[in-house]
Amino acid sequence: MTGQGVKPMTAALAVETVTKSFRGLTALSGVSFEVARGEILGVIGPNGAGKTTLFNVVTGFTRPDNGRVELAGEAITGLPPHVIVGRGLARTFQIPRPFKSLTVAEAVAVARASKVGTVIRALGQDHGDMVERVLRLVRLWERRDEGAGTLSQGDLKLLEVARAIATNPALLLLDEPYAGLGPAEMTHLTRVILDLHRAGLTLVVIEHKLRELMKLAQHVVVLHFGEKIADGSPAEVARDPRVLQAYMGGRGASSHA
Amino acid sequence: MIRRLAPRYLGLLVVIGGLALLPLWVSNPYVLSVLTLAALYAIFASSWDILSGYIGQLNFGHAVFFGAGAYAAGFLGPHLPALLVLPAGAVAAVGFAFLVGVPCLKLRGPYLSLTTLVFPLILERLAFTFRDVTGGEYGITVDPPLSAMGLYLAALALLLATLMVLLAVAESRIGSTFRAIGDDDQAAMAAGVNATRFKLGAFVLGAALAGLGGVLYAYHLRHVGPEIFSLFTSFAIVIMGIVGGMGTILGPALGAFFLTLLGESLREIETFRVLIYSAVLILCVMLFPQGLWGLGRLLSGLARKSGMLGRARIRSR
Repeated sequence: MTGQGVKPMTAALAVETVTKSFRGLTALSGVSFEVARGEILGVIGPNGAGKTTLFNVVTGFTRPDNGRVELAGEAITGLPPHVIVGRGLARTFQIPRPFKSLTVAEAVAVARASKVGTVIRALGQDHGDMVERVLRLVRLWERRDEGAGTLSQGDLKLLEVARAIATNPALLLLDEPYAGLGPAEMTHLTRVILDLHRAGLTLVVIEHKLRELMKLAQHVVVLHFGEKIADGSPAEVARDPRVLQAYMGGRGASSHA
Repeated sequence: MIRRLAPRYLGLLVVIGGLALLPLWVSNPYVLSVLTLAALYAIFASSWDILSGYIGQLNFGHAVFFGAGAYAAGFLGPHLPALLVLPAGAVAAVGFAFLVGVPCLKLRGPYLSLTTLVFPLILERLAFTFRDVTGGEYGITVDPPLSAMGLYLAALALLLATLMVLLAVAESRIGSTFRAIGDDDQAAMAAGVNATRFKLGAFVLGAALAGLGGVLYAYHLRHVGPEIFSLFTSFAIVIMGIVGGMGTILGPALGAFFLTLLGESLREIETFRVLIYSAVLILCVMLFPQGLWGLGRLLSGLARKSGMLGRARIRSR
């Protein structure tokens, strides 16, 4: 862990009072939370809660109206997405966005590896180049010469993860990685995520499949109508009355009533 | 990569070498002149393809780049040795690539295309306005430093070099990055790719090669005038690219030869020339949506499949 001893308390990611609205519709309203280095944070919330907007703001795809995003203590608010990737923060998209005119191997080779990540070190140097190691990890190596657009939905999700980890992130944001996967693929993806995590990768995971998420996350943030309504351990969050109300339906106690 | 390119390089050497030897049997200067023109258009169309076919940013203003090369030949031809005029043409074109590229790069899809459409029109107007320098509508007479035969061979050599460079780029990781940006530029950015820089790079590479061709174009016509910036010229390049097969480099070059030769062969029936030309264009686009190159690949794929030879490849290149 080089260079991490200087400021041991610095969070891997800090989101401070981020607000974003689209044409008067508030997608995020004063959302703040921190991701500690080395943890897996789960972000949950009903549809339209602002989870994907949060990812877009953090990764530079959407500029927030207000607030700040810090990656390992450095402000990244408003930086272009590829620069943020270069600082070690990668993401996947909820709906896979494959490069349809490339093969699986080419699509992963397009990724530019950052210098600050933990993945390349984790994958070791035992055999093959980076593309091969990443594709073997997600079990797509056998499909390396197939068109990226021809993969099944489950394989597309894995390709999405492969492309993100090929950027050698220190922090990886996964947007509903389990959606569209079969049971065997889910188990495998969980294993991949835990392996990378053990090797030092910090993760933020948006997921509707709470059962899978609870296997991973040590820390959960709940969004509801653009506001953070809970932040704590999975057990704490599961007992929180506001969370129960949000998931039971109805706009309940939160805003927009 | 070398192994993947080898068959195409070999084919290029055979075809362009054959064209270079053609004057041994065919001494008709008209044929030579038409083939020179076709080779120059092939340079323009293939250099257009690297931005338009790979990144998918349809550029309607490619004439800016070879026009810059042609005017560079007009301005500098009398003052510089011919071997320096060529790089000067490329430099002028690259200058315009930055001028056009930087404001256009933030734009996408139809907006970029419409903006690129405007630049040649501006230059056409400027050529009229600054008639003291440009000669206005009369343009500038260019004294070619080469014989017609020399020019023909120079055009073929430049075409060969252009196609080899473009193919090498297209088959490299840079080429896959271009395609990735064309498929989904946001996903490319999420993969850490500086999409703006790659788009500008494609602009600059295509412009430099077109600028070199533009110098030879001025030598060939012995003249450069504002009509080089006309809409017709830019559209002609786009049509050659589409008919030949975008995103293949060799397809647009093939399209340039096909359409130039078609246009010339119809000269004898002047009355129906445009009608027949247009009909052939429509048929090409309807019957071969992947272009002539796509058709060729389809046929060779079928032949291979029926012969049960080789492994099928995914990409329809």
